[in-house]
Amino acid sequence: MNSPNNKFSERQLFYCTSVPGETSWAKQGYRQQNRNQSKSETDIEDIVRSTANINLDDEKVSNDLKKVASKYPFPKENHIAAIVKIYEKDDSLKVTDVVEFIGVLNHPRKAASNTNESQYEEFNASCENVASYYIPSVHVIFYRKLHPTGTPLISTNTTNLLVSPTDAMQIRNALIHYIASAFGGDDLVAEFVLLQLLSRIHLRQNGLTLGKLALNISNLPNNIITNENAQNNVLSLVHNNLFAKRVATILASLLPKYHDLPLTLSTLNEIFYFPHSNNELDSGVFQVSQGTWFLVDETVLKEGKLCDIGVRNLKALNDIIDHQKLNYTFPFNNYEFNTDIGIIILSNAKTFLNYDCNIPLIQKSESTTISNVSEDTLNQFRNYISILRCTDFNIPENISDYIQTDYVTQRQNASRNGTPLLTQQDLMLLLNLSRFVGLSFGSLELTKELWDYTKKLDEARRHRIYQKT
Amino acid sequence: MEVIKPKTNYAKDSEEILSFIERYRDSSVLDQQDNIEIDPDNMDIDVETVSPSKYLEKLKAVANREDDKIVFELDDIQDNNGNVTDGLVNKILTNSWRYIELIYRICDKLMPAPTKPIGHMDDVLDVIMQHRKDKDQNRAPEDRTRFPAALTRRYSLYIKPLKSVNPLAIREINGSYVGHLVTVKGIITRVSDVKPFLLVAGYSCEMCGDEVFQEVTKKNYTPLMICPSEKCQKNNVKGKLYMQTRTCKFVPFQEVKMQELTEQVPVGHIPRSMTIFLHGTLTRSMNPGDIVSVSGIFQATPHQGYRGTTSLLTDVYLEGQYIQQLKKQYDKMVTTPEISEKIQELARDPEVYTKLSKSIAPEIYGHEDIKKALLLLLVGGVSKSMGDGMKIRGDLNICLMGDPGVAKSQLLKYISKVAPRGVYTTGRGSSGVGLTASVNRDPVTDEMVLEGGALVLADNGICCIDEFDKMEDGDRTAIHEVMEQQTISISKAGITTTLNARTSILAAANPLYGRYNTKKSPTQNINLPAALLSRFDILFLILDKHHIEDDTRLAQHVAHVHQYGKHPERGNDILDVQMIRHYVAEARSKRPVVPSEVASYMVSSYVQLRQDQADAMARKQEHTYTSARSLLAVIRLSQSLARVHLRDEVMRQDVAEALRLLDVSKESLNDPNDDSPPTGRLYHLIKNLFKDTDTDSLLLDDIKDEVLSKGFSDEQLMDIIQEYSVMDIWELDETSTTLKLLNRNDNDDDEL
Repeated sequence: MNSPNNKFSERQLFYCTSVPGETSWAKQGYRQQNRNQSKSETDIEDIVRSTANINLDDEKVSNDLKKVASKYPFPKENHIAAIVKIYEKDDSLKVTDVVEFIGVLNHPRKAASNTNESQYEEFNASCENVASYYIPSVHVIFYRKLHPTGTPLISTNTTNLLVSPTDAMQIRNALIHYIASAFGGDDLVAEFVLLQLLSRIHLRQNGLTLGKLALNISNLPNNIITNENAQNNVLSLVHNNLFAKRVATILASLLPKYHDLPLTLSTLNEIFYFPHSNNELDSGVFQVSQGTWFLVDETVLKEGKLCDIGVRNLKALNDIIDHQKLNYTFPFNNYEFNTDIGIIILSNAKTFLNYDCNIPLIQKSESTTISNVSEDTLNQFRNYISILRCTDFNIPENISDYIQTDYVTQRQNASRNGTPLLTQQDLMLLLNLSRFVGLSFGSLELTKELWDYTKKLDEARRHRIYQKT
Repeated sequence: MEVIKPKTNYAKDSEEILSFIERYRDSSVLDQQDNIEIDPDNMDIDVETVSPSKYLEKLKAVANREDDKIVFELDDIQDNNGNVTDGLVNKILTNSWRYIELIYRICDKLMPAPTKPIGHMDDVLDVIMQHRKDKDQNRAPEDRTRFPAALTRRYSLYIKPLKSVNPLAIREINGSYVGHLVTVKGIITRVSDVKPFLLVAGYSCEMCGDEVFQEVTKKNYTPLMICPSEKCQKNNVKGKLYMQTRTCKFVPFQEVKMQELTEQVPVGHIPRSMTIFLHGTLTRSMNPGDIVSVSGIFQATPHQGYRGTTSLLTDVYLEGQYIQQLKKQYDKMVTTPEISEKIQELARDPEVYTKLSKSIAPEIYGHEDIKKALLLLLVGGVSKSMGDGMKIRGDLNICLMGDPGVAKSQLLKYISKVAPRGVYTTGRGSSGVGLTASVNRDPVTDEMVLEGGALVLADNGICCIDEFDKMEDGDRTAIHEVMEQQTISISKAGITTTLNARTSILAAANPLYGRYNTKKSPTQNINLPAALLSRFDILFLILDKHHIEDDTRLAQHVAHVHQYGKHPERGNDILDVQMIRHYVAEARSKRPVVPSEVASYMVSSYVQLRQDQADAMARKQEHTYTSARSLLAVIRLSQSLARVHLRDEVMRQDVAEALRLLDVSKESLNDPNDDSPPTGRLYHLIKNLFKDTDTDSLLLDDIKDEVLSKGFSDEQLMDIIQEYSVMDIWELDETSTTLKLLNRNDNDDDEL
């Protein structure tokens, strides 16, 4: 084996799952697009599904399969998994990338379970050994990374990647109205949610992360919990709160990747939020691709004891909110991974989690129905969000000066009146918001009007907080 | 199939190795004896008597059973250029396994008879050898060849790689390295139990009683079933063989998993790991959590597919040969000539102190004095241990207390990254267990293990604790011991022990009411017990106050970042993190002493401090507690300052700067409306500048740099220049670039 005359080539194994949190419309859109391209009659995914579906409702699921399933961020959810084998040296694929593979599908060898590897397996149990009996593999011929937003609509209509300001204005109002229907007609909250949906990490340098906006919507009405499957599925990450459910429906209809995250004691204490490894890497809730949204529902949290995992889960959540970074824990070592995860927190009072921006909700109506919007309009909304989210935005020099003087005068006035001073954080938040406000109007650079509008918006928000306290 | 004729001439190479083993002597030994002429014709046997060869000596030790391993150093072969060509090293590096076998064979051949009685060290092997000898007397001599060499060997042979080799990361090793000797750096994550590994299987025949040995060279083997002995063959019976564990030879064997280090993993990638096999004496030399570089032969064995087929894939592992434990501390840092050159250059720069402190957390705007204190924290004072076991702490402890949003946490995070063993933790996130040590049960082995918390992990480093005020009181008490005694005592689950925690503590806290309440006294705002406060050498109060200039600069900074997506350039004299680390390492190697003259100055200033404290108490404005510990703090700070300048002696100006830092730490407490300009201090500062440079005209820019670095503003400088020009002390020239002293009256000097 060791003769220098032997030649070795290399191959890399990747464990892949279906995109975590991919919403149904995005999934369909992607399939539609594929069908158009390949013009084939049969749907490839159906073939894969027949062999690869991990269905954990089945009682007879063996331990090994459970082990494999722990590599999917959301426990106990059905998904497709495959081992992808790439026959070349390539370091471009990173964890949580969304990739499209074309290759030869190999069915799992379920039957052959008697092996002579048992002796070494205990120590060497590699993902391949266990998984290959249950999971199909794909020998890759060609692959490409997909756009991180994961919106199928973008890649098809590459021609029209700009939203004109007039269109933006129109869509914006309709969209705010649509979002507001989940918040009892509260337009201000809906506007902040819209701004949040446009946020994207656009800069990360020397520990500085720009473009994050963790939104906390407080003052929620007392929650009405549906008891549908509260009994048998305590640990599932599905909202039971009706209000959260409504918001979730709206978000899922707009975003390509979205998942619920009810913050109950049992989910906090028993589900890992961060990927962790003892010998093999097991996934955690936050091991998702860039541009995935979570709706965190704090209203379902009750008093109780938080165990070790719970404390660390909260830390992971706070790390994402503060720095958009997730620690993967390995024995004796932690590795930080950058994330771009949208977080919206619902809470009764101000949340105990960290946040960038807090806004109390004031419902105008008790209506619980979500306004009906046609599929076409929804597609318009989706395009609007996806396109604007990726658009670059500039702050011209003169506006920058204007903001500076504005900040100084504000502090001066505050100091004179004895009101709280505007801090660096407040300024950062305003600048961040102004970016999203600008984008939401379809503008490519910040103007004085946009800045003043942002300030008015923030003032309205502050006024609400002030009223509540 | 194509047959490739091996190009390597093993016979020739073995000869080379043989002559190397026989002739190589330690160069140090050689130096002493270089007057002895070595006659090349007369070497073979007599060489031992002339000067003992390094490796023959080792063989002798093995024969006498004083040693059980031989480390074959490639550096020695490299050294031995005169006798052996460079090619041999390369051949060993790229085809290591084959050459180890060759060397084994040569060593076996050269193995001398024991020179000492070894009777008391008899083992099973000796008993069997004795039996064989007895039997052999009635037996044909050709049978003797059936002994595998591995059976009688009493040593293991390892190859030590060249010292110059650079350790690789696991992901850098690919198929082309198979069979090579490679050195890999990483962290050990798992070790298996040590198990016996079969090297030679011994059987005995039920028919003829003959012993048969089988050497095992692979991971799997097929046991012999039928006796091959002459006797059985002659009688035409198929004697059944039974394995005899007593006659088998086993070596200790251990499997170890190594993982890449954090810095070796590219952003966004999952760390990779590698299996290492250890045999013989190398077992048990590594523990989980160790950072090591392991040299070994990168091996590939065919993947055992299911149903006995061999697949195209191979399992890879590293056959351990040499292990080097690594620790990343200041004194273990490797400097290159360029770096030490740069350090020296920096040390000559009188501005080094400001330069270094400016380079700390350059992305954080302002806070120059805090950064200076943090620099001193990195460098630290001098630890002393007295003869009677008493220790005086040299590590500085600093507490930053201030309003939210003044970048305390960023400073902490930065420091925890710069320090070689920096740990960042929050008081709220970690319980007492997280900060001190804890006793846990290992889930795998079910054993009790002692697990270090943040403080133990930061031994010889810096522990940064955020949200210090939100910590449970019980946990904070645990920190008392660490901060003064620098140890942690544990008495849990039957384990009583004291662990070292020689760590500096950098804490950040918010005032009691979230924001500093100017209507309350400082003590009420700070709300930490005096016992704890006195353990901090400096307590910085950072208040967020309205100040037009600062606000403007901050707004500019923030807007710039959002506008251009990067930090504004602030001069190119910002040193990178690596350079700071190296400089700090260099500075820490100094042990400055306090001369008596400086000591008396310290004493008088301490008395002054106590007086100030009493005054402050009377005004209910005290913010720290001045005790004997404060004197120690001044000493530590000034020692640290001397270290920054790479001096061996503490000077008066160090003490003055230490006192100044202590003073400014509470500066933001002063009422901003109280507009008495610190003209006096500024005047002395400029005056000293003239004196230091020994001229009577200075460039205004130079003065400005110095003055700004001391925490004064531009306006203050212009004011004072204006004010004193009127008094004819100095004048500004027409272009406003040079300041000229009008009459240097030297009697001012005594004032300082």
